[in-house]
Amino acid sequence: MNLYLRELNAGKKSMLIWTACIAGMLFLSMAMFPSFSGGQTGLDVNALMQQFPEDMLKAFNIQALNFADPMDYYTYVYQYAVLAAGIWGMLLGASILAKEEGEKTIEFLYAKPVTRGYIFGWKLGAVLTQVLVFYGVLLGGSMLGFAAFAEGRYDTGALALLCLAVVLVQTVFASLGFLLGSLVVKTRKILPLSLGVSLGLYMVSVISSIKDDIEALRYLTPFQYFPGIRVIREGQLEWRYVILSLGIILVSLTAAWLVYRRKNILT
Amino acid sequence: MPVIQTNALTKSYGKARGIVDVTLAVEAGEVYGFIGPNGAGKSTTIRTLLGFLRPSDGNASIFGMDVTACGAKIKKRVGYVPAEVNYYDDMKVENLLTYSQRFYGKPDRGRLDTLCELFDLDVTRRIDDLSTGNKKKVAIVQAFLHRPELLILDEPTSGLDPLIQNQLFELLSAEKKRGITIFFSSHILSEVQRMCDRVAIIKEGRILRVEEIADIRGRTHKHVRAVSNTPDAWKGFTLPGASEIEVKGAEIAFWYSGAMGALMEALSERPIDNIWIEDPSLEEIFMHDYRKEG
Repeated sequence: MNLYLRELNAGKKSMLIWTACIAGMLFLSMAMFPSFSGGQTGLDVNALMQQFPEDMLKAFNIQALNFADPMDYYTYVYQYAVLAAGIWGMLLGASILAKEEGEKTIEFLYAKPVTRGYIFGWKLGAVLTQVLVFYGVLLGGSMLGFAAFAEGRYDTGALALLCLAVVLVQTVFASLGFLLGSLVVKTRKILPLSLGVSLGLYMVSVISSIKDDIEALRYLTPFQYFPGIRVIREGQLEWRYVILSLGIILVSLTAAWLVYRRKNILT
Repeated sequence: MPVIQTNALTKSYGKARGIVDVTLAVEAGEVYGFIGPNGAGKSTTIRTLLGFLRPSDGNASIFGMDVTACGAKIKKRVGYVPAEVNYYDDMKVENLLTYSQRFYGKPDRGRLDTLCELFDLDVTRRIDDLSTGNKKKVAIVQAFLHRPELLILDEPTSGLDPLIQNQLFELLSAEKKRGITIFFSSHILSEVQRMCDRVAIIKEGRILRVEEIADIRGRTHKHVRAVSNTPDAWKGFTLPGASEIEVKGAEIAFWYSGAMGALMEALSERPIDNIWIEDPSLEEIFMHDYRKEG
């Protein structure tokens, strides 16, 4: 518990920034909804969008959106929340283990009467707590955005599902980050590797959106597991991708633990 | 039963040498010196004992428990001062020490204050504002906080000024009287001599020998250098206890083992302009002993 509280305390500033940025982005995007819906300007954004090439609309996941509908509009900005949450998750998972070695504080920690299981477990607990807090803020911020700028026209269940999808994808990346953090010795490699993996998978996601005939590409990138428009149309998260996400989380964390428990600490 | 027992403990890092066949037994209540030049394997041995590194071969136990299987139970009773101190820069000294205490149970504020006062440590300062010496003081305080039964000290005096070094030695003496066991690594022979009952000498990853400190003291040499600008000042210089006498121009250098009074008397007969009497480095002692043994 001591380590858990320390991790939450050490990570609170970063959590505050990331959470405020992502939830703030969603809230402020909702402020632009009246313009997109045509309610203020009389502009028909849906008609405007038809002028763009289909591949471009697919790349931005907006080919099937009705911009006059606040939930549809929300799924457009939602995808950027997924991207940001994925990057944050990866960085969070990777750095929480690796920073002790990078900053050489691991010698202090390992001299304490704790097992490696204790360290791994409480650090994971601190990450999951941050994810949980993020979920609450994300959902709250989104609801506030709908209440303020879309006359409260939202489906609470669908919104909760979308936010759940964000944090599920984030947890997938956090567990991949844990694996990365257990493998990497030099922390200066953590940032480029984390960004490289998450942005690389985002590129795969963009390609997957355009080439929707290659279904297999969707499996490769967690950014495509829960496209917002599908979630609100179907009213649920696709089970096979939920299971795949949980599978990746389980396998990554198990592999990370197997590496970490036998790791030599070279300071 | 020894407090620390290692049997042919080996740690190798691929092609790089770590430690090879290290066998030691440290008895309860003993202050055990562990000396060797830098890079000899002192820290590797300690890190393997504390479970930071997994042994490649052999085994080690502390308090009769295997170090790889019972690390947490062992460390409850161990205090450790690392050679190089690295702490959380964002913390204040007080927060770090309380954080450290909580791993052992409820923090004891009285103990914390007493130790900080002893080492003149300002607990309100941030870790990243501390000098190397002050960080070392924090490391020493946190090692003593939970009243350990075994202290493992890896080069504990490096970075400390002589005054604080003395306070550390006084505290160690008091702890020794209390009956705790101390494993003391250093590359400075004189500080090991000052504290320890026995000493293990490690070089290139292997234990060369384990000796009673009294035996080493009997063989301790000084390295003497003197300069005289008077021509032929050193002609025919001999002195019982002096060996490897070497004269280069105005300078004479030799090893000396014996009474200081006799040395001073012999030197005072010569017109000396400058003189250095130094403790030789461990490396020099090893080389000297090898030459003698060879």
